[in-house]
Amino acid sequence: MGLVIVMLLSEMTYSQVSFDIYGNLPSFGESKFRLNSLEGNPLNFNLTKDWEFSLSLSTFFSTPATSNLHMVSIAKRFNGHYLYARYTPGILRKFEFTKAESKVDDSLQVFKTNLVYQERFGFGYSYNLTKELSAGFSFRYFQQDFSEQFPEFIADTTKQVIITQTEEINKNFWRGDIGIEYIPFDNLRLSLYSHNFFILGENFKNDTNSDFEIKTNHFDIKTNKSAIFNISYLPWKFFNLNMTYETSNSFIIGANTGFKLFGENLAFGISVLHDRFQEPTIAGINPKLSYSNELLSITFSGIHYFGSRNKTRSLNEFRIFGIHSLTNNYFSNDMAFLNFNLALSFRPEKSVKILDVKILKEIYPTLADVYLNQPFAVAKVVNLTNKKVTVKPSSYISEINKESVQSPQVTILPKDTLKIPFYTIVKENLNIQKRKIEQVAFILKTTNSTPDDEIQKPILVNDVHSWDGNVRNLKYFVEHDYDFSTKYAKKILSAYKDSLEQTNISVRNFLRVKILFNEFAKKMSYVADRRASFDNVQFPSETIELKGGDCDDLSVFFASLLEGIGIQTAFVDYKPIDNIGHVNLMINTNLTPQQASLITSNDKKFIIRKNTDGKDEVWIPLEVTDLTNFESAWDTGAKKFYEDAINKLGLAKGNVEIIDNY
Amino acid sequence: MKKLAVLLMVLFAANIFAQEYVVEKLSGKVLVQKGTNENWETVYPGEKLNGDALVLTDKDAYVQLNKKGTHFLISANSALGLNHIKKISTNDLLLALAMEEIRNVPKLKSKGESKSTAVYGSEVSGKNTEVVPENDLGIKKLNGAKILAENGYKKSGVIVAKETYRKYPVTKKQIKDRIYFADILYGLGLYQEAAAEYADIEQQPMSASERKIVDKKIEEVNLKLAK
Repeated sequence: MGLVIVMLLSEMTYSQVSFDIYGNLPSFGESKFRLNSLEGNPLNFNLTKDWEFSLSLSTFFSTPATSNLHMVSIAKRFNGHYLYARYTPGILRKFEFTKAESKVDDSLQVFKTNLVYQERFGFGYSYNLTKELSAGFSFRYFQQDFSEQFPEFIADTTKQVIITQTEEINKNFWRGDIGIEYIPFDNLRLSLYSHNFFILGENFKNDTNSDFEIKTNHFDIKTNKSAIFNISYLPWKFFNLNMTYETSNSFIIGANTGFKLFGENLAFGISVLHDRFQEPTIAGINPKLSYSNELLSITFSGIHYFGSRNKTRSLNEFRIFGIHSLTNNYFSNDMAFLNFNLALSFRPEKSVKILDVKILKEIYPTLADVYLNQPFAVAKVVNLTNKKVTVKPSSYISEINKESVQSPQVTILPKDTLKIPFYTIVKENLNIQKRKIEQVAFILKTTNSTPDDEIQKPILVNDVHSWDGNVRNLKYFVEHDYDFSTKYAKKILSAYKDSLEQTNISVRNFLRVKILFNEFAKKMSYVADRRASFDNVQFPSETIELKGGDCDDLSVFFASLLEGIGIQTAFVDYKPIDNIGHVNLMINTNLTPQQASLITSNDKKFIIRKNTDGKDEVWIPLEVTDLTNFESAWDTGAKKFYEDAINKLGLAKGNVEIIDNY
Repeated sequence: MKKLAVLLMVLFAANIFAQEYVVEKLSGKVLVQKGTNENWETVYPGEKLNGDALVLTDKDAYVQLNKKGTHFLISANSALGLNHIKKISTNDLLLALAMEEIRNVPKLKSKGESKSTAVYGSEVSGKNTEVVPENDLGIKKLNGAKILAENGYKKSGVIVAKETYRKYPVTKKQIKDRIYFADILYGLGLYQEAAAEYADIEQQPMSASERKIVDKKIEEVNLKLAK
C-alpha cells in the first residue's frame, strides 16, 4: 500500500508505458500461448503450462520502413513457478539531432548528437500463491549509448581551423518491477504492478554542470515511478473488456472477441490509447488479430497515432518530453506499427489430469479375457478446461501387453471429474512362472498428439497357474489345453469305438462321459493344493503329467476332456461355508427328459436345463474328486447337488451356482 | 480368495435327510427308492424311512407314515419324496419357482451347442425313435404332489408338481391337475406366477371344455394383474 501511495505522489509519466506489442489479447478459446510480454505484464503472470518459445518480428512504418527481429523469448512452468527470459534486439530506438556552427569563412559545419536506446534482455518470475492469487517480478536491462559532436578550434599562423571531436558515454541500467494478480472469478482478472520500482545504474552518473549535454540527465530514459492497474473482464465467453490505468492518468481501453474456426482459435480486438500528454485525447488506436492452434500462435498488432508524427522534432523538445517507453513514446514519430509473432509450445497444455488411480484387480495372465470385459483399474480424472473433453485412455504393462492398450473413449464435462475404467489385453502364450510386481503406465490423451497426463502404478502380475478364486474364471484353464484334451479324449474313446457304435445313439454322449471318467479315475488321485495361501490351478496337460490335483484341477481337467470332444459342461460352484468352498461338474447328456430313464431310474440324479434354443436337456452332476468310478462320482455329485442346490434352495439363494463353460 | 477343499467325508457325514418316518401301516404294493439308489425296494410295516426316500404306491395300495406322532397317508397310485412333507414359506416357494430359470443355460452364445455336434458328426436327432416309453412315475409323482396339497402342504405340492412337469413332460398334459396347481398359486395371491402357469397350460392340447376353463382363469388372473 505504501508503495502505491509513493507512486501516486510521484511525478507523472507521459505515455503508456504499459503498451504491449501483443495488444494484451485475452486467451480466448483456450489458447495456450502467452499473448503479452513484460511491457504489458511486468509481474510476469501467465497460465502457460510448460515450455514456450516465442519469436517476434516488427516492422516500423517510419521513413524508411525497417524490419527487425524484435524479440526471442523462452518460458517454462515448474508447478506454480513460472520463469520467463527474453532477448530483445528489436527494442531499439535511435535518434539523431544536428546543429550547425559557422566557420570563419561563413560556411556551416554540422555537429550531430546521437542517442541510441536499447533494451537488451529481461527476465520474469511469478508464483501462484493460491489458485486466485499470483505475485511476480521482472528485471530488464537497458543500454543507452550517447554521442555528442563538438567543435574544436585550432589556430595556426594563417587561419583558424575547426575540427570535429566526439564525446561518447554509456548509461546502462537495470529496471525492476513487481506486481500481483488476483482472479476472483473465472471471468475477472485484476492486476496491479509497478513501473520503475527500482533502477540500478551501471554508469549512471549525471553531471548537471557538464558542458556535454549527454552527460546530464536530459536524454536519459525517464524512470519516474508509477503504478498501473489492469482489469480484464469477460461478460460473455468470447467477449472481453480490458482496461489499463496508469497513475499518470494515461489509460488503454480495449474490447476483444474470438471464436473457433475449424477447431482452432481466432481472436481479434481493438484498443484505444489516451496519453495525458499526447494529442489528441485518443492518441492512438491498437488493432490486433491472433490465430492459434495446438502448436503455434500468430498475432498481428499495430498502433496508429492520430496526431502528426512525421514532423521533425527539435532537441529542445526531446529535452522536455524525453523517452519513457521504448515501445510507445512521444517520438514514436507517427509510426504505424505492425508486429508479427510466432509462438511454439514444446508441449501442449494439459486438458485433463489424473487425480488418482485405483488398481481393481491383480493380473492373472491365464484369465486373459477377463480384462477385456472388466476393468483392472479405474482412474479419477478431472477436466481442467471449460469445454467438453473426449479422453482416450490407454495403459501399458511391459510384461503383459504387446503394445499400449486403448480403453474406451470417455467424454468429461467442463471442470468435471469422472472415473475412467482401464482394460487390458494379455498377450498370447504368456508363460510367467513367478509372480512379480510390474509398473502400469496409465496414459490419457485428448486432442493432443502427446499425452495430457501419465502416471505409473505398481501392479501384481501372477504366474500362469494362479487363479483368482472365481469359479467363473476356471474356464480359461479349461480352454488352455483344448488340443491336448481333444487328442487325449479321442485316444481313450478310440479303444471303445465298437461298443460306442453299438450303443443307442441317444446315450452315446453319456457313455463317452462314463468311459472317460472311469479311465480318468484309474489314473488320478486327489492331491490338495500345493500352495495353501492362494489358489493354483494346473493346466489339463499338467494334471495328466502329475497324475492328480485338487478339486479345481480335476474339474478343469475333466471339463477340458469333455469340452474337447464337444460335450457341454458347467462348473457347480458351492459357495464357501466356514471358508470351505467346493467345485464340481455338471454335464450335459443331450438327452431329453423323456430319455432320462435310459440312464437312470432315479430322478434325483439329474436336472433339466433348457438349452439356448429353449429345449429341455438332461444334465448330470459329477463329483470329479470321487475317483472310485463313474457311478460313485455321479451318486456323490447328485446327492450334494440335490441337497445343497435343490432342497436348501441353494440355486435360488445364490449359495450354489451353475457356471457354464463357454 | 476362495479356498476350495474337498472334504467329502465331512460334507456327507451329517445325515442330510434326517427326517425319519416310521411305516405304520400299508396295503398293496408299496416301494421305496432311497437316496440316489437305482433300485426300488419293497416297504415293510415298521420300517424307518429317511427324507431322501421316494415312496411309491401301486394301484389300490396305500401307506401310512408316522413322524413323531403325526400321521401322513400316501394313497394309491402315488409317488412322494418324503423330504417334501414340510411347510414352506411363500418366499421359499417363489425362490423355488425362480430356480427353474436360474438353472437354465443362459441365453448367450451357444458355443457348446455347436460343439456337441461338430466333433463326432453323429447328430442326436430330435426325432429319435428310441424315446423311452412314458412310464407312470410322472403321473404318480403328480398325484403325490396333490396329496401334499390336500394335506395342507400346498406350497410344497406346487414345487413338486412343477419339478414333475420338467422331468416327466407327459405330465404337462394333465390339464386338470395343472389347473389345480395353478389355482393354488392364484389362491396364494401369486398372480404373476399363476398367469404364467395358465399361459403354459393354454399351449397344451386339451378339450373344448378344458380350454373354456383355462381361458376364464386367464381372464380372471389378468383382471387381478391389471388392478
